[in-house]
Amino acid sequence: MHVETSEKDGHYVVTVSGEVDVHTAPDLRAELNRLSSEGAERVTVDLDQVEFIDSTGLSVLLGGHRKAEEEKRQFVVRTTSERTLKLLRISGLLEKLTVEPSPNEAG
Amino acid sequence: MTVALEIPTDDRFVGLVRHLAAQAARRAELSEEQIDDIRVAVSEVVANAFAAQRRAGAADPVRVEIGIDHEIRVAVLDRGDGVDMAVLDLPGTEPDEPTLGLLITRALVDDLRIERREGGGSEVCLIMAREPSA
Repeated sequence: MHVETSEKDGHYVVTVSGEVDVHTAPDLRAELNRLSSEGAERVTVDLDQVEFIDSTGLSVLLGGHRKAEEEKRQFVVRTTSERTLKLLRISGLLEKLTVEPSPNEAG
Repeated sequence: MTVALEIPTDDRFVGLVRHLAAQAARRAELSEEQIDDIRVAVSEVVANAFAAQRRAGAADPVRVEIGIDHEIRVAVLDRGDGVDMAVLDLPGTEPDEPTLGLLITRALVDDLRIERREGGGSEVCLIMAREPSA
Protein backbone atom coordinates (compact mmCIF):
# COMPACT_ATOMS: atom_id res chain seq x y z
CA MET A 1 0.00 0.00 0.00
CA HIS A 2 1.10 3.51 -0.78
CA VAL A 3 -0.43 6.68 0.69
CA GLU A 4 0.19 10.12 -0.77
CA THR A 5 -1.35 13.33 0.50
CA SER A 6 -1.67 16.52 -1.50
CA GLU A 7 -3.18 19.81 -0.43
CA LYS A 8 -4.80 22.61 -2.38
CA ASP A 9 -6.58 25.58 -0.79
CA GLY A 10 -7.02 23.70 2.49
CA HIS A 11 -8.47 20.60 0.80
CA TYR A 12 -6.39 17.51 1.56
CA VAL A 13 -6.58 14.57 -0.83
CA VAL A 14 -5.19 11.28 0.47
CA THR A 15 -4.55 9.01 -2.52
CA VAL A 16 -4.30 5.35 -1.54
CA SER A 17 -2.96 2.67 -3.86
CA GLY A 18 -2.17 -1.03 -3.57
CA GLU A 19 -3.54 -3.40 -0.95
CA VAL A 20 -5.17 -2.17 2.27
CA ASP A 21 -5.35 -4.97 4.81
CA VAL A 22 -4.56 -5.75 8.45
CA HIS A 23 -0.85 -5.27 7.77
CA THR A 24 -1.02 -1.97 5.88
CA ALA A 25 -4.20 -0.27 7.21
CA PRO A 26 -2.39 1.14 10.30
CA ASP A 27 -0.32 3.37 7.98
CA LEU A 28 -3.49 4.83 6.50
CA ARG A 29 -4.92 5.33 10.00
CA ALA A 30 -1.73 7.13 11.03
CA GLU A 31 -1.95 9.48 8.05
CA LEU A 32 -5.62 10.30 8.75
CA ASN A 33 -4.78 10.91 12.42
CA ARG A 34 -1.94 13.20 11.39
CA LEU A 35 -4.24 15.28 9.20
CA SER A 36 -6.87 15.38 11.92
CA SER A 37 -4.38 16.53 14.55
CA GLU A 38 -3.19 19.23 12.16
CA GLY A 39 -6.77 20.43 11.92
CA ALA A 40 -7.36 19.62 8.23
CA GLU A 41 -10.88 20.91 7.55
CA ARG A 42 -11.52 19.01 4.32
CA VAL A 43 -10.15 15.52 3.70
CA THR A 44 -10.93 13.29 0.72
CA VAL A 45 -9.63 9.72 0.74
CA ASP A 46 -9.26 8.64 -2.89
CA LEU A 47 -9.53 4.85 -3.19
CA ASP A 48 -9.62 4.60 -6.98
CA GLN A 49 -6.14 3.10 -7.19
CA VAL A 50 -6.76 0.56 -4.43
CA GLU A 51 -6.32 -3.03 -5.65
CA PHE A 52 -7.62 -4.65 -2.49
CA ILE A 53 -9.38 -3.52 0.67
CA ASP A 54 -10.94 -5.50 3.52
CA SER A 55 -12.67 -4.73 6.82
CA THR A 56 -9.53 -3.37 8.45
CA GLY A 57 -9.32 -0.71 5.73
CA LEU A 58 -13.04 -0.02 6.00
CA SER A 59 -12.69 0.36 9.79
CA VAL A 60 -10.02 3.00 9.28
CA LEU A 61 -12.42 4.91 7.01
CA LEU A 62 -15.21 4.59 9.59
CA GLY A 63 -12.85 5.85 12.30
CA GLY A 64 -11.86 8.82 10.15
CA HIS A 65 -15.50 9.59 9.43
CA ARG A 66 -16.53 9.44 13.09
CA LYS A 67 -13.70 11.66 14.22
CA ALA A 68 -14.41 14.22 11.50
CA GLU A 69 -18.09 14.19 12.42
CA GLU A 70 -17.28 14.88 16.07
CA GLU A 71 -14.98 17.73 15.13
CA LYS A 72 -17.31 19.07 12.43
CA ARG A 73 -14.77 18.57 9.67
CA GLN A 74 -15.47 17.27 6.17
CA PHE A 75 -14.47 13.68 5.41
CA VAL A 76 -15.20 12.19 2.00
CA VAL A 77 -14.38 8.79 0.52
CA ARG A 78 -13.90 8.78 -3.23
CA THR A 79 -14.26 5.57 -5.24
CA THR A 80 -15.70 4.38 -8.52
CA SER A 81 -14.61 0.77 -7.95
CA GLU A 82 -17.51 -1.70 -8.08
CA ARG A 83 -15.46 -3.92 -5.81
CA THR A 84 -15.03 -1.30 -3.09
CA LEU A 85 -18.64 -0.15 -3.42
CA LYS A 86 -19.83 -3.74 -2.94
CA LEU A 87 -17.92 -4.02 0.34
CA LEU A 88 -19.16 -0.61 1.51
CA ARG A 89 -22.70 -1.75 0.75
CA ILE A 90 -22.39 -5.13 2.50
CA SER A 91 -20.83 -3.59 5.61
CA GLY A 92 -23.48 -0.88 5.90
CA LEU A 93 -20.83 1.83 5.51
CA LEU A 94 -22.28 3.19 2.27
CA GLU A 95 -25.04 4.86 4.30
CA LYS A 96 -22.67 6.07 7.03
CA LEU A 97 -19.81 7.53 5.02
CA THR A 98 -19.94 10.38 2.55
CA VAL A 99 -19.04 8.67 -0.73
CA GLU A 100 -18.43 10.45 -4.01
CA PRO A 101 -19.30 10.34 -6.77
CA SER A 102 -22.68 9.53 -5.27
CA PRO A 103 -23.14 5.78 -6.04
CA ASN A 104 -26.79 6.38 -6.96
CA GLU A 105 -25.97 9.11 -9.48
CA ALA A 106 -23.04 7.15 -10.91
CA GLY A 107 -25.24 4.11 -11.51
CA MET B 1 -7.24 -32.06 -3.46
CA THR B 2 -6.32 -30.26 -0.25
CA VAL B 3 -3.42 -27.92 0.38
CA ALA B 4 -2.44 -27.39 4.02
CA LEU B 5 -0.25 -24.61 5.38
CA GLU B 6 1.11 -23.57 8.73
CA ILE B 7 1.26 -19.78 8.86
CA PRO B 8 3.23 -17.85 11.50
CA THR B 9 0.97 -15.22 13.09
CA ASP B 10 2.59 -12.27 11.39
CA ASP B 11 0.13 -9.93 9.64
CA ARG B 12 2.46 -9.69 6.65
CA PHE B 13 1.42 -13.25 5.75
CA VAL B 14 -2.29 -12.46 5.44
CA GLY B 15 -1.59 -11.21 1.91
CA LEU B 16 0.28 -14.40 1.07
CA VAL B 17 -2.64 -16.59 2.12
CA ARG B 18 -5.20 -14.55 0.20
CA HIS B 19 -3.12 -14.67 -2.98
CA LEU B 20 -2.83 -18.42 -2.62
CA ALA B 21 -6.56 -18.80 -1.98
CA ALA B 22 -7.28 -16.68 -5.07
CA GLN B 23 -5.09 -19.02 -7.16
CA ALA B 24 -6.94 -22.01 -5.69
CA ALA B 25 -10.29 -20.38 -6.54
CA ARG B 26 -9.07 -19.85 -10.09
CA ARG B 27 -8.13 -23.51 -10.29
CA ALA B 28 -11.64 -24.42 -9.04
CA GLU B 29 -12.91 -22.34 -12.02
CA LEU B 30 -14.77 -19.82 -9.92
CA SER B 31 -15.83 -16.56 -11.58
CA GLU B 32 -13.66 -13.43 -11.35
CA GLU B 33 -16.11 -11.87 -8.89
CA GLN B 34 -16.05 -15.01 -6.74
CA ILE B 35 -12.24 -14.96 -6.79
CA ASP B 36 -12.31 -11.35 -5.57
CA ASP B 37 -14.82 -12.36 -2.89
CA ILE B 38 -12.60 -15.24 -1.76
CA ARG B 39 -9.66 -12.83 -1.54
CA VAL B 40 -11.57 -10.65 0.93
CA ALA B 41 -13.15 -13.53 2.87
CA VAL B 42 -9.81 -15.30 3.38
CA SER B 43 -8.14 -12.06 4.49
CA GLU B 44 -10.85 -11.56 7.06
CA VAL B 45 -10.77 -15.03 8.59
CA VAL B 46 -6.97 -15.27 8.59
CA ALA B 47 -6.58 -11.82 10.19
CA ASN B 48 -9.18 -12.81 12.81
CA ALA B 49 -7.38 -16.10 13.45
CA PHE B 50 -4.05 -14.31 13.94
CA ALA B 51 -5.67 -11.94 16.43
CA ALA B 52 -7.31 -14.86 18.27
CA GLN B 53 -4.02 -16.74 18.35
CA ARG B 54 -2.28 -13.72 19.89
CA ARG B 55 -5.08 -13.18 22.44
CA ALA B 56 -4.78 -16.84 23.43
CA GLY B 57 -1.03 -16.35 23.88
CA ALA B 58 -0.35 -19.29 21.57
CA ALA B 59 3.04 -19.35 19.86
CA ASP B 60 2.20 -22.03 17.31
CA PRO B 61 1.22 -21.10 13.74
CA VAL B 62 -2.32 -20.91 12.40
CA ARG B 63 -3.25 -23.83 10.17
CA VAL B 64 -4.95 -23.14 6.86
CA GLU B 65 -6.42 -25.92 4.71
CA ILE B 66 -7.63 -25.20 1.19
CA GLY B 67 -9.74 -27.85 -0.52
CA ILE B 68 -10.15 -27.49 -4.28
CA ASP B 69 -12.56 -29.28 -6.63
CA HIS B 70 -15.96 -28.05 -7.92
CA GLU B 71 -15.83 -25.67 -4.97
CA ILE B 72 -13.24 -24.13 -2.73
CA ARG B 73 -13.24 -24.85 0.98
CA VAL B 74 -10.99 -22.87 3.28
CA ALA B 75 -10.58 -23.98 6.89
CA VAL B 76 -8.64 -21.80 9.33
CA LEU B 77 -7.71 -23.31 12.68
CA ASP B 78 -6.58 -21.24 15.63
CA ARG B 79 -6.31 -21.51 19.42
CA GLY B 80 -8.93 -18.85 20.13
CA ASP B 81 -12.41 -19.26 21.57
CA GLY B 82 -14.17 -18.54 18.29
CA VAL B 83 -17.07 -16.18 17.78
CA ASP B 84 -20.75 -16.87 18.23
CA MET B 85 -22.14 -15.82 14.85
CA ALA B 86 -25.42 -14.85 16.54
CA VAL B 87 -23.73 -11.55 17.50
CA LEU B 88 -23.79 -10.60 13.82
CA ASP B 89 -27.58 -10.48 13.89
CA LEU B 90 -27.97 -8.37 17.02
CA PRO B 91 -29.92 -5.23 16.16
CA GLY B 92 -28.26 -1.85 16.38
CA THR B 93 -24.67 -3.06 16.53
CA GLU B 94 -22.14 -0.73 14.93
CA PRO B 95 -20.02 -2.17 12.13
CA ASP B 96 -16.81 -2.61 14.07
CA GLU B 97 -13.96 -5.07 14.12
CA PRO B 98 -13.84 -8.02 14.36
CA THR B 99 -17.54 -8.53 13.68
CA LEU B 100 -17.34 -6.31 10.60
CA GLY B 101 -14.97 -8.79 8.98
CA LEU B 102 -17.24 -11.71 9.75
CA LEU B 103 -20.29 -9.82 8.58
CA ILE B 104 -18.61 -9.18 5.23
CA THR B 105 -17.33 -12.74 4.99
CA ARG B 106 -20.75 -14.23 5.63
CA ALA B 107 -22.24 -12.05 2.91
CA LEU B 108 -19.58 -13.03 0.35
CA VAL B 109 -19.34 -16.81 0.68
CA ASP B 110 -21.86 -19.61 0.16
CA ASP B 111 -21.37 -21.04 3.63
CA LEU B 112 -19.53 -19.93 6.76
CA ARG B 113 -19.25 -21.99 9.91
CA ILE B 114 -17.33 -21.47 13.13
CA GLU B 115 -16.84 -24.49 15.34
CA ARG B 116 -15.03 -25.23 18.58
CA ARG B 117 -12.26 -27.77 18.22
CA GLU B 118 -11.83 -30.69 20.53
CA GLY B 119 -9.01 -29.90 22.90
CA GLY B 120 -9.43 -26.13 22.51
CA GLY B 121 -9.35 -23.59 19.73
CA SER B 122 -11.74 -22.94 16.93
CA GLU B 123 -12.13 -23.72 13.25
CA VAL B 124 -13.60 -21.32 10.73
CA CYS B 125 -14.69 -22.96 7.50
CA LEU B 126 -15.91 -21.15 4.42
CA ILE B 127 -17.16 -22.59 1.16
CA MET B 128 -17.66 -21.08 -2.27
CA ALA B 129 -19.02 -23.27 -5.07
CA ARG B 130 -18.47 -22.88 -8.80
CA GLU B 131 -21.41 -21.12 -10.42
CA PRO B 132 -23.28 -23.31 -12.93
CA SER B 133 -22.18 -22.31 -16.41
CA ALA B 134 -24.78 -20.46 -18.44
